[in-house]
Amino acid sequence: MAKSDDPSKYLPLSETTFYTMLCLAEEPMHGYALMQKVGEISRGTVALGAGTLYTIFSTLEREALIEMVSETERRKTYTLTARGQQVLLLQIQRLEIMAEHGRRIKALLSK
Amino acid sequence: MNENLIRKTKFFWPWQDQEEEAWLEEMSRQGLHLRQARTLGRYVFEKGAPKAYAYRLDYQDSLKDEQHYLKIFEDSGWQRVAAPGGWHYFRQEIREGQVPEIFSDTDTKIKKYERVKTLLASMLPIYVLVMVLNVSQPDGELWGFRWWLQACSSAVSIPFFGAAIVLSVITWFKLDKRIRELRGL
Repeated sequence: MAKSDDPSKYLPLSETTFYTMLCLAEEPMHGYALMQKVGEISRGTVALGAGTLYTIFSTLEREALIEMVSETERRKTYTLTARGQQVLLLQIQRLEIMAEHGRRIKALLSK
Repeated sequence: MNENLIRKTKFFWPWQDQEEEAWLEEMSRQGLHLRQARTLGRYVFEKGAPKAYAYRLDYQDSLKDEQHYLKIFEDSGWQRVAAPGGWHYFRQEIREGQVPEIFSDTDTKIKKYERVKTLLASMLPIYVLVMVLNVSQPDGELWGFRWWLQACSSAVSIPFFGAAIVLSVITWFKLDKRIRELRGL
């Protein structure tokens, strides 16, 4: 049985949660900057709606995967915590396995 | 009341939020823009030029930091028009046919309905308890004053709390069905 604080209990992360954590791992950000950046780095495949982002912020903060570092003009800036980094790394490992097999099958199908 | 303002009453159940959004959008297309919303579907509209607005409803019963919440919505172009009983009414103009959404994934859309379900589930034991307390018989005195008081209290409590319990349970199952449909997508 997984222990209750086992970081793998959060996996798999949703695509929107993944991109949010990915951006916060690079640098602390507030919601507005995040919405822009996620659209950009996902090459337009993921859009962050306001309700979705607020829910993700609340959930990640409650689970101590992110924390607020500052607040200016009602915008809260968050960063990834050490625990958040652990979770993100586990998710990246999962994605690597998926991508590896995906590439193999892609090559096979496009022959 | 200002002659530019129009009152309307139309009740929606929590599982009919999309119908309510569509209705508000239709009103705006006819030049009636939501100005105020109160509980039990009491709306005030303001007459103006017809506009293509998207209306979206979120449910939040315990916002820790409302300013932070509103800022995130404002940053994506939403204006909050009203917030009766935990329901937040947002609107945004539809530009170039691009309909904006407040939820961009299924997980967070489901969580909205789960917040409503949680509230219903927490109210249910209170309704039951209050009803039982109001109905329970005092000892002795078969036809005394307290008996009459008790009879009157039961006559009010049973239909009132009974209806609240039945409607809460129906709403809970309707929302549960909506969640299961969303999951299946």
